[in-house]
Amino acid sequence: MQIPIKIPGGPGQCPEWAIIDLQGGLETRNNVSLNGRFMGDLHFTHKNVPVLIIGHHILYGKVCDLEKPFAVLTKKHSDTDNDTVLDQDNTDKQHTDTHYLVKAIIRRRLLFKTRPKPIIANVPKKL
Amino acid sequence: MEEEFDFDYADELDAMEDFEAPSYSPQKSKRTLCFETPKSKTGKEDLNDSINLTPLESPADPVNGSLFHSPSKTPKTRLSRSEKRGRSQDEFTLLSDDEDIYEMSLPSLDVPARKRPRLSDAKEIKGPDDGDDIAPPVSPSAEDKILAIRTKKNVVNGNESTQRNITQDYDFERKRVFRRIPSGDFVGTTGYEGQKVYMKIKDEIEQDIEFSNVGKSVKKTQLLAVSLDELKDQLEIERQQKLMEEAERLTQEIHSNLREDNLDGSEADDEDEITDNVQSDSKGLLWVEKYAPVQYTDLLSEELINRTLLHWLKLWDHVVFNKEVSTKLKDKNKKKGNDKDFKKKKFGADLLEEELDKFNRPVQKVALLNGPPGLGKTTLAHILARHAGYNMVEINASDDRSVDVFKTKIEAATQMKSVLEADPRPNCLVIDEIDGAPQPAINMLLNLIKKTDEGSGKKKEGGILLRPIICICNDQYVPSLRLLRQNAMVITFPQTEPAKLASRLYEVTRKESLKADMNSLLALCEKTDNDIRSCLNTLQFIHRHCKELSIRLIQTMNVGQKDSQRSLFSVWNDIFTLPRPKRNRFLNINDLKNEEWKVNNTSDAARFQNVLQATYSSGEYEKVIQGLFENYLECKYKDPKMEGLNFALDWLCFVDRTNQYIAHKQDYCLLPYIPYVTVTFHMLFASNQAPRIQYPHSQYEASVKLTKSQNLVTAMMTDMIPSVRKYLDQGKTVLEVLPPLMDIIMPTLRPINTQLYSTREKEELAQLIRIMIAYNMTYLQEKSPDGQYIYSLDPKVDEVVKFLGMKQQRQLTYAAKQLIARETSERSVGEEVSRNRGGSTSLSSSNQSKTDEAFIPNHKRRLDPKAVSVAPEEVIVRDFFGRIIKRKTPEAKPKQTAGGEEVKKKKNVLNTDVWFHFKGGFSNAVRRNVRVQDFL
Repeated sequence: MQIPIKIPGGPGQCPEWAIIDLQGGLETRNNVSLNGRFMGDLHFTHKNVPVLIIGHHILYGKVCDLEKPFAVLTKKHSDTDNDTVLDQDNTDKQHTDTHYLVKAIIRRRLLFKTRPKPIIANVPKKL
Repeated sequence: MEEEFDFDYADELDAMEDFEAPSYSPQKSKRTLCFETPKSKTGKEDLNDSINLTPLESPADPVNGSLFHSPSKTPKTRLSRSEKRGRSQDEFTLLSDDEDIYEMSLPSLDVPARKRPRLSDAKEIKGPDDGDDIAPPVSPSAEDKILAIRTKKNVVNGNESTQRNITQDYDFERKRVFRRIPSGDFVGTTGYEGQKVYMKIKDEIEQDIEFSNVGKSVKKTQLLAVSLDELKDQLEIERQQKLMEEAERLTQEIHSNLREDNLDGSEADDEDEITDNVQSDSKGLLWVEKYAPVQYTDLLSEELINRTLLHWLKLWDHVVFNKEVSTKLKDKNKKKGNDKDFKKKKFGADLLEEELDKFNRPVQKVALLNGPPGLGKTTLAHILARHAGYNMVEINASDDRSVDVFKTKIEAATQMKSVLEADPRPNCLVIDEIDGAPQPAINMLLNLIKKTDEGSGKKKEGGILLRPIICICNDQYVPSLRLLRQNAMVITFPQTEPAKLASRLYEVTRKESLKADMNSLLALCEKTDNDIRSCLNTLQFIHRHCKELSIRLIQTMNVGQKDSQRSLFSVWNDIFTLPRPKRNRFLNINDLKNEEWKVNNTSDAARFQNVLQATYSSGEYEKVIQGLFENYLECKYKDPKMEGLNFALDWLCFVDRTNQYIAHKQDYCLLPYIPYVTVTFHMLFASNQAPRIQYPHSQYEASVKLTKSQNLVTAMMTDMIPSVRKYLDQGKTVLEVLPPLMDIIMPTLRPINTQLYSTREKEELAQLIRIMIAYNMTYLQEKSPDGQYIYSLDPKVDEVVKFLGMKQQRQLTYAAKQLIARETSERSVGEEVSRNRGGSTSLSSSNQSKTDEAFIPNHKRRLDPKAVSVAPEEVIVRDFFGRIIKRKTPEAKPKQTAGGEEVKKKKNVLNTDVWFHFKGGFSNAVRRNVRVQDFL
């Protein structure tokens, strides 16, 4: 069985994404779902060191190349448009009507593995 | 085997060390040797007793002890030896039984078992024998064993020669143990198997001889390269030599003391006697030493110099001898007054300052004798010091001149005093050939001299200088002596008067029975430049060959002429002065036709040659010619048409070109032509009166100035604006840009506020500032020496284009300069900033303008301080009676506050909903199986 994987704009047209690898979890304050929320700011210093600011934490990371690139695939049914994102580049058999679309290629990841540093915004003048 | 070898040698060394110690106690070694006898500790006699008393059955018999120490009459020196031997024998018995066994033709024996019977027999024998006469019975065999062991060791050592010796002396075939009774003295003993065996007893004398022989053979195998005895002998010889030297020295001292006494007495007869003595006992002595003056009156050097130095030495009397010199001083002052006039006639300068400083020392603590070699400077110093009652301490060029050594020597000489001699005199330090000493050493000396002014001078290490120091040099213009010269009494030795010298030489020749006439002696003096030493050496040299001194001999001889270096000033003097016709009547008699020019020194040829020679001898052509160049215009010469001047300048040009060629090509074949310029100058400018010659400075000054200007221009050019700089090099800047620029940067500025300037004036000012910045110039405030503040150009390039005697340029006012300086600094900072930004600012600004409104990233947002507002709710409002007033609308508030919070949240960056929970590298990630059907 063949599962066709298509690149929408043809080869070379695929956007490249990057993985943000955090050594921790993202949590919300009052049990709101993370979906579609503003998470933080990602910046790069002059030396291309990624800096991630989440809440009152600042994280310094580094850019790593992945050993094997990942493809972000979207599963498509010819009849129904059910989206399921899977981070797999394996090919497998499928029904005749399922195929995958490559959304992006991931070659790099931003690894933040150091302990975050707190940003102290306003120090009360009197303690 | 090797260990035992070492062990044995250790013993030997011990023995060697203790050889001379008479109280060598053998008990210790005995203890080690006599294995278990407890009584042996008590002492030798005890031991002997104990041996005598030891029962035969005693399990451990002190074999060796009994053998070697029982004869109590053996001298102690031998004791140690015998002890040594005993030990080795003991070893041997342990080691090589089998030989013994073989020779005894006995079955293999146990060592102690074999020993015991032997000893018992020895005991038996002791009874009948007199206690004194006991000869150790087993000793021959023991000795033989030692020999054997030595030979073995020698084999190990590789010392074959000694081995050969021993093997020759020793017969291995000799029978030692007999079954029958041998002839002569014998000892009977019972063998292991019970049968009786006999051994010969050697005579004690014989044995002694053999012992000593053994000792001799031992010496050859020592560890030392030279045997101990030889070393001892050497020591002895050295000691004797030392004693001899000591004695000789003492006698010499006595002699010298005697001589000094004579000096004080200064009797002519005594002197004769001494000279006779000298003559008699000095056959191989140099004449220089032999006829060295021993007395003040013998001195050949100029009387005035002698007296000046002596007077200076006498000035020290107050400090050194605690004599009052003031009265004398006044007398002398008066006398000196006359002397001074006299001196001024001769030298033109007074050498000696008469005053004493607060420590009562003369102002000049050091006398610097200066003059060419062989004039008797050292001799003078020695004789005067002796005459003034000092002990001479001389530091010579041959001595070590490192600063430390120099310091210790000087301190030793100036602060200590010999106490051993019968007539202790204070020291006078003579530093000979000080011009060769390194600069630090001279600085050290200077410090010592200057160490006066401190009030706590005595506390300081070393204290102040309290002894006279006489320095002697050949060239007082050595750079290292510059400072010393200023602090010293410089006495320059003139040439010895030829007549005086010749008469003295005549005396010498008379005494040495060398035929010589006054003329030839004078010729010799002239030839050697009145160098006494050289004269005497030459005379002695001639004396060895023939007994007559003739003028021709002197003329033709190469000896006596020194390859001396002449000072620059003397060379210049020679060049600029006409030679005086010499009164060489005795030379004129000679018909040395080919050397006539030498005789008549005023002839052109002679002048030519003399000047050339002088130039050669100076060696520094460059300096000589510079001196000529700077001094020739001062000369008095007749040259109305200035042709000579022209000619001289042509020559200078030639020299310059030649020098340039030489330096350029490194081709020195043209160098010989250079000195002829001096001849030209001599011929053109020489006059009867010597000009005042200045040392040439202009070359140095010019080069210093050049470097300074170059530095200034370079400093200016390095920070010019590139667009200005790109067409400039140093030459162009100096020649074409700077002179007008100095005028350009001096516009007329009205002394009013810049705000009131007209547009044109403002324009001018701006232009000026631009120029200043472009050429990297500014004004700097400086404090002038007279305390005024002035503004001057920062790289002082105006000095580069300013020449001596030029009209003073119009200067801007102080205020104008200040204004320009301020504007320049502001503008240059501004330019710098704008230049630095350049392209980047435009880029970033465009970026910023776009992003500004849309989105401000977190880190760029201003962090507004959170208003710590005292919440009104928190404050519990109480009424007058202290009861809490309840809020009327408690429910409305949360809503309000929630809304407020949301507002706040947007304001506060960090109050986001999402936060990061760091897990420290610990991951909860789970591997999940994915089935194929999930993909479908």
